[in-house]
Amino acid sequence: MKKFGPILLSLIIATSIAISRKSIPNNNSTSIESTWNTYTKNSNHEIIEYKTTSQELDSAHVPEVQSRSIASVSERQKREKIINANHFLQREDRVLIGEIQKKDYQDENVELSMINKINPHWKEILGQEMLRFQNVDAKVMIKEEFPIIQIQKGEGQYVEQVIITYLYSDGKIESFRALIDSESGKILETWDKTIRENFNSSKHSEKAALTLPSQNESGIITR
Amino acid sequence: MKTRVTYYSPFTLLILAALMSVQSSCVPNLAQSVRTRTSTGINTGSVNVGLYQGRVLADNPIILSNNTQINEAYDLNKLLSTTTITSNSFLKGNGSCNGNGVEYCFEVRENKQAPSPLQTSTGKWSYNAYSPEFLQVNTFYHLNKEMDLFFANLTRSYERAYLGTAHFYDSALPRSVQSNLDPNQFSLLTSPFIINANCDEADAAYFDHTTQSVCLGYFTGLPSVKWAQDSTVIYHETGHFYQKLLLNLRNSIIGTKVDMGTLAYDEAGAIGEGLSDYYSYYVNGRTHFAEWAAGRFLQSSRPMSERDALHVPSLSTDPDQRLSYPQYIDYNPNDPTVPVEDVHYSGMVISHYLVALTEDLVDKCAFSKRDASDYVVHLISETLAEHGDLTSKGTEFSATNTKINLNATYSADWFKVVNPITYRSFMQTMAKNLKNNLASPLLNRCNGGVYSTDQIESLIDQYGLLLFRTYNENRNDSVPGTATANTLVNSINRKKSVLVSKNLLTFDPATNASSAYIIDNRDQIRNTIAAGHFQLSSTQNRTDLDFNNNNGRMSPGEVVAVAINLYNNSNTPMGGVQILANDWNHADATGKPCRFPTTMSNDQWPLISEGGVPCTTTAASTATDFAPVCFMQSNSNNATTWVSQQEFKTNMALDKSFCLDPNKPNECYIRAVKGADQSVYSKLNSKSTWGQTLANPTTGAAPVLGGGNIILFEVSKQIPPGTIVDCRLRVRFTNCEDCYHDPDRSNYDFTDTDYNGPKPFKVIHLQIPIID
Repeated sequence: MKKFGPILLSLIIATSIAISRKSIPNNNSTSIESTWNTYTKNSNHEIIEYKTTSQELDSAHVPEVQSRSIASVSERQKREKIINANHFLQREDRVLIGEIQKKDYQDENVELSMINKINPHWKEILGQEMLRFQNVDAKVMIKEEFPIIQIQKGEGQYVEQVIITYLYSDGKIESFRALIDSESGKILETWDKTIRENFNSSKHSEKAALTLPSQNESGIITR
Repeated sequence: MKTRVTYYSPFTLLILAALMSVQSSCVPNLAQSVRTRTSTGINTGSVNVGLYQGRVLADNPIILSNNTQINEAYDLNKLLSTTTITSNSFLKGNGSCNGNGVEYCFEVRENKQAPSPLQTSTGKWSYNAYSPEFLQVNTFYHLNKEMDLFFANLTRSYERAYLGTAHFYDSALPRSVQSNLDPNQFSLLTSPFIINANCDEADAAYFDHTTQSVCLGYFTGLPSVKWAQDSTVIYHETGHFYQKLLLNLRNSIIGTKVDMGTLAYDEAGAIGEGLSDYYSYYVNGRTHFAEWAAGRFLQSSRPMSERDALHVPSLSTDPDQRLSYPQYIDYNPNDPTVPVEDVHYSGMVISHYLVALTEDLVDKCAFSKRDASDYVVHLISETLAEHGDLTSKGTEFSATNTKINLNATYSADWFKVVNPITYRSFMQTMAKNLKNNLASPLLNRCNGGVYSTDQIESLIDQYGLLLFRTYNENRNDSVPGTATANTLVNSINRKKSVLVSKNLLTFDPATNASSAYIIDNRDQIRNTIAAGHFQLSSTQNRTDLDFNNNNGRMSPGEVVAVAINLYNNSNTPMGGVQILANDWNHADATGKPCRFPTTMSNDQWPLISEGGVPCTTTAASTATDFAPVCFMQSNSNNATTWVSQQEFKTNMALDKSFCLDPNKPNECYIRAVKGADQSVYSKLNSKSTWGQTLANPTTGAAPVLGGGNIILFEVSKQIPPGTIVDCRLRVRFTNCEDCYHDPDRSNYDFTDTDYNGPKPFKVIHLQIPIID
């Protein structure tokens, strides 16, 4: 009987782990969050894109961690809830912002000339651009928040509201929101930048990264 | 805030418990790690703690021990007091984020990785002072207190502004966010505000807007010293969250919003830090921030009153000895001999003013200290809500949508660059709100009488901030005919605030002094772009910036920083010097450079024979009203003229696909990088440059340039060497006599359209040779 003890215990443990795993979301899954993508450089400075992992979302402190396993559904629902609760007008399943009072743009029969098109690769272009001047070990995560049509001076522009989060190798995080041109992937506006308080006065000089040349040979003439 | 619950069978739980006990003997205990001391997570002293109660540090350890030299080994458990925490099972606020109840919701977690807020199984919240659980409970207690105060204040703000459908004054508080059914409810948040109380952040705390969360870190040298042990840090960081809410109170939940400052040095950022310090005072009534977390071990705490012993002896609450602008803008009380350009210290001017205002309201209006600070927070709310309005309406009863930040199309640019929050603009709006609320004889809210405009102006002047000529009730409205009368400031009250002519801001006149520098060091430029997350328009400037050759000159294909060596030729310090390189109205519709009359601009450039065209008005409505700052010298047809980049491109027969941005031929060859198209210097002392102003007086060491002190330009590799470009920049400073009010319009402020032209600025030129 003594011989069966460890075997039985092992069997129980293995069974319980198997049962428990069914209940625990797979943290290494790469498909749990459809709206987040991560971009990073490899050693050849090539940009690599993949679906953001749970660990990266944890590192970036994306809220509602526990509900992310159903996020592709809940994110949509959350987005729709915000849109409906705030009575946003929509066209082509996109939120209308800007000068939207002049016509009933929600009616897709109302003419609205667009100054750009939707490029399905806007996010990749943005990801590459955001990493362009970063060190090899930096990662950038991009989340689509809202697809938008912005109307200015009677013309529409497809834009995307996104969250851009940098994960640095030293564990630091910086993030901000941005409006992105849906065709060029270029940033139109940024806001919500992380406010960092470095209490160590010696660190105040970290931001200071530029030194003047010892001799000025710019040839600049000023008036 | 849905919490997913997974159910396990009793059998599974039994096995898991067995596994955990085995695991605990193998895995190092986090509690034994270097940053956590005796992190047992076990309730201590809970026998004497009632249901829903816990133990907290009612203030920071310095205050509780009454010992400024208390050392890190002191047992903080001795300083704990018992108080009610929450009847919830989790450390979550009572509110809801989705439209029910008092709509502010918050929670406290241990760190970024924690899947949920701390939960109690006993209904008690008593922990050892060195446990992670304690940090969470302590943070929750103080956050809850601050949230209750702030949102109750916001409710009262609405009561001060509105009575049913009527209004007491033209408020910036939008009625749309307040519930019709319950005035205590606001539709402001769609997700909770979170504080992570035990973050792995050395010597730092931060507020991440996108996750609406704060991280409170630890002190490198003494890992047991945590920021969450200092309630003032909790109040301050949460203050940034309030500012975000208030600034965007009138903005759509979806789409562009605004921040207090650019994160490089600027006055909006400084004011934001000062306001956050004031929120600490608002909660605890004390005029010092972070004695424990920042002060005791890092010598970087901040006072909020001239009475504070940390200050130099020359400061006092005497009207002539206040911490005034711009004299003290680079002053660090922890090391007063060395000037520092830092938003936290610069923000002390506003925090000191606000505390002084609070005390003055106690004195003049017989308010309690609580009521007085409550009123000041209300005025801050009004001021921020108005400034941040990207719809450009500004206030609820504004007749137009052109009252602030130009118009809805360009408002973000106006808020960030063209007419940003400065000490002048912020104080002008604060003054207006003070006048609307406490100087109104119709409302008699100051002990049955009024807090007079003379009293408003006198105190502002004591801080050197009476920099405006009117209360600017109609703001910078650009639409003719809609302006109402503005109330004039009584100039007799301007005793300490000194306004200086913009003509006294010059290039460094010293012999052989450089008036501008070009920095083209590859690593420095790359780091600057990376830190600012700037986006270049062109793929010409490749990732490795291999055209940058570090020769201090502007060459084809480079990205360069330009630092301008300005000089204050007056006898008064200049504060908030700003150099703008954004697009503005200085070319005609075809792109030819404007030559303005002397009444509009100081530059008288270029001559008509050099390609200039006469321009006599400023507009800001169509795309052609915004021209890039740089023109090109053209030597064709035996004449030297200044032409637009588009014309130069045409002359060179360059296909637009070779431009920096093919869609913008007018900035084909050189452009200021958006986001890095302005630079700011905190102060220029009298008869000094910025370098002289901030030089270490002991060592003589010059300050190092930060990202906010330079303008970034990207240069096309298609630009022919030998070409000369003229970049026409505009400069101003905050205490400027002729940069904000227009003598041609009764000293009313310039309109937002005026700010798209030369008149409110001094125009300077950089003529830069492109050298291969």
